[in-house]
Amino acid sequence: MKRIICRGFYWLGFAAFSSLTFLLANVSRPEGEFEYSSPIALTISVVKDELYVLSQTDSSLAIIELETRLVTSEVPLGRFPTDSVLSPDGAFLYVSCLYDNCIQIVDLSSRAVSGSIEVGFEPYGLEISSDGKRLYVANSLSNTVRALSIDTGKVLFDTEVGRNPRYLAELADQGVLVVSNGLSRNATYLDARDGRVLETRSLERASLLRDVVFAKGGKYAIVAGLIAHDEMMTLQIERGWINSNGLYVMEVGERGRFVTVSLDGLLDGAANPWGLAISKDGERLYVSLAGIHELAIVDMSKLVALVEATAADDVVRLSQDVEAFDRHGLGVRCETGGLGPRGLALDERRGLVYVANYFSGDVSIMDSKTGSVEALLPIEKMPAEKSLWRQGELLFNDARLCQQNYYSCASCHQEDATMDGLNWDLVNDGKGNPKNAKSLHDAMDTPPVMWSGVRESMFAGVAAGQRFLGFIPNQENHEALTAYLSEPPRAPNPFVDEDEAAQARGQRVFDRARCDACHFGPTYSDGRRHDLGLRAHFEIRSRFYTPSLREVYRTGPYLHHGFAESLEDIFKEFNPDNRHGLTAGLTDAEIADLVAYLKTL
Amino acid sequence: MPARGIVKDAFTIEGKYRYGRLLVLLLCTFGLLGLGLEAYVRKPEITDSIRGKELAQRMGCFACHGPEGFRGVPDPVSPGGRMPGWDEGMAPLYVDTEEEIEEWILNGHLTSEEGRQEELGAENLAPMPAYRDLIGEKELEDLKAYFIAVAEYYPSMPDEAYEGSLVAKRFGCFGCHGPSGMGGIQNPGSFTGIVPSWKGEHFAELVENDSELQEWILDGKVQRIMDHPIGRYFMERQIIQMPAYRNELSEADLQKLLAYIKWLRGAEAKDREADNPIA
Repeated sequence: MKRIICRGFYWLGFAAFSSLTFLLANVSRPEGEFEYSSPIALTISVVKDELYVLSQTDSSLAIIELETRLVTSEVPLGRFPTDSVLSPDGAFLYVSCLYDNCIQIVDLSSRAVSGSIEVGFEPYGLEISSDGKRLYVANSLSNTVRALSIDTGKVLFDTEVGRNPRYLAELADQGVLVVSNGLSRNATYLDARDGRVLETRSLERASLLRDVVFAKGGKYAIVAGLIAHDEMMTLQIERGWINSNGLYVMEVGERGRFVTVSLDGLLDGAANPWGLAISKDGERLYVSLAGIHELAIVDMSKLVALVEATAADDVVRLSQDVEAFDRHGLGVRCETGGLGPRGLALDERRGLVYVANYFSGDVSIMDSKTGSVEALLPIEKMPAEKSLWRQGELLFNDARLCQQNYYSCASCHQEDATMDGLNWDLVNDGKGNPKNAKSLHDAMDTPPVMWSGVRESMFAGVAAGQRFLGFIPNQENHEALTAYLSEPPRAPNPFVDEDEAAQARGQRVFDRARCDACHFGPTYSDGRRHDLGLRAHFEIRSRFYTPSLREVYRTGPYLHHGFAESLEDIFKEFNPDNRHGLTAGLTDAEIADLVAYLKTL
Repeated sequence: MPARGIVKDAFTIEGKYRYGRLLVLLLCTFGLLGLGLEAYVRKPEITDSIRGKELAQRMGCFACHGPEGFRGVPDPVSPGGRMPGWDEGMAPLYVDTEEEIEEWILNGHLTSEEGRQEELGAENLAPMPAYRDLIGEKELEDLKAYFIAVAEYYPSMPDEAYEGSLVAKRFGCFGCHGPSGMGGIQNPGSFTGIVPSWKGEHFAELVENDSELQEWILDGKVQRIMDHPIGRYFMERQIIQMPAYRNELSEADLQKLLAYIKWLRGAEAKDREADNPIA
């Protein structure tokens, strides 16, 4: 009897524990923060004359009747809806649910989710073929683009592209699909029929690439993104010598050819370009500037003229010219009236452009020619006074904190406080030794901060970050940013549900290789510095602080110099002498198991 | 009748002193004193790590941990393919504190890792033996000192000193001066017979100030000793001559090396740079 009772308690305890771990594994932001709406993507239905607004954090769809500008209904969606496309007949809306790894199908007549298709990890951008038969999805964490048959739900192809593919666009008559890769400084061209990689086009200094559109009948593909000058020491904010912001205009038919045009003004950076929309006549390109809360309206004929007039020798110079936008009269930039503009939609019939403002939780209705704000449609149900955490999230993404608005914290750490995958020479630990940007998610409880530990704690780190933006730390901002970074917005880890047997074997490899000597839980860091023999020739020190392994599945490239592209590379190429754990002589299968385990941390 | 002592017997003859014999006695006495003094002055400085090295040799440590504790010997069972050598940054994988070094030596395993073998399988074909019954407290200290020298187990070593230790390694200083400059390498014909340690007391006699330390490194000798007849005699006679690094060592490397040697002797060295308010 006693044994049965004991067993009962055991199972009760086990159930409580497992439900707790389940909850924890899915926590991505503090309690209460899921109630903010965070509109991120807009889709317009000409047939129904409706606007569909995806709210990311409260995971819902708002349907707005354009005639009355009223929210007619709301549909709850899977976690973190991120992008949507409309079927050509306007009957269904396809929504990528970032954290549920699926595409939900919303039946717009019944206004309910009518189906769901499982896709890769963290589906981001969506595109539908012009015949309405195929759906393309960029799986931003799996680094693949998948094509699905809409009728059967069958996978037509699943092609590996660059790191963190974000958005895609189809050029129907040429059968080309272009994909913007958020973390690999390039765009991938795919054959839209069979998914073959046609070209990986390097975009040189590109960083955090976002939306992509075709222009001039498919002659050009344009990607919005940052121009990251990580080749320089980060000594000068002015003239965008750390980050500037712009468009990468790629000539589709000419391999390798692209021209970078900055959207900045000399004293007024155009921080964090995100969404793109192009008018039907191809005359105007709209770019949302998420970091400076503006919409840029670009005169396409002037932009194309500038691109065509730029000889190969002048491409680099033009990419560094933060006065180009004004000097060539490329267009206007106007405030959206909201905060954190991301997704855009064009209403050609009314001559309006709609802008989803992520942080103010509303949709700006702007004149498509002049950019004047006609109205702000509120989506947000939370009080206007933001929580400290939410203020922190906004500040993190807000380039108004930066001298001349060239960048925000999110320009190197992405909108979720992780990293941009680049090596930056921050000068605070000596000149000429760039190091890989670290995710800020694990900085708070693993002091000292940064690879060489130059900041005693994250408290000092946040202050230094504000100085890096060009100003003396501000008490209020400091509190909000610290609150935000204390409970960073973590994504649920999809690798936890992968092959459990492999993970268990991997954990054994991990322990046998004595990885746990330095990477032990709960932070998976010992807070000390070690010399793993990884000092590169340009570096001035040999020891670096043990990084945390939490979320290592998404923080590549790896090691302090970012030389290891994948987790496998760490053990196959960068640990010949066992200094970084006893991994010499592990078989490929064992390394695969080890990586399977690491990805669950 | 006067007492007849040995001295009287040996050194007098009919009330007269035998001056020849007395002279020999005097010379012998001085000779013995001199020899004793020389032996005392030229006594090699045997530090705890040097004793530890000999002890490790006797205790069979090098059978598994590799010659002089370096590299470790191949081991098909070990996850890294070798028994752990003490060098090459292996120490952090096995020990966290000085107490843990003692635990390994005395018990052959860590208390905190009990059950590890059952869970994860054997780590080595030949398990680490326990030396509890073979060594005393003093010997444990010596073994630990040698391990620390080879493993360069200095948890709180500042950055500048650490970089200096790499310079020392790169330029082969440890070849003659031993790991972590512990000394003890034989040098026939030299004053004490061994290459001096960077840690002991002899160092202070050979290096009176910073500029002499620089002189040693750059020229392989110091003028003060070369000007002294005995000093010069031994310096020229010793088999291993300290090389001159003047043309090999950059100024930056020299500064790091100086910082390291001085840190070993208890001086402060620069660590993590302070927060720079500008950058």
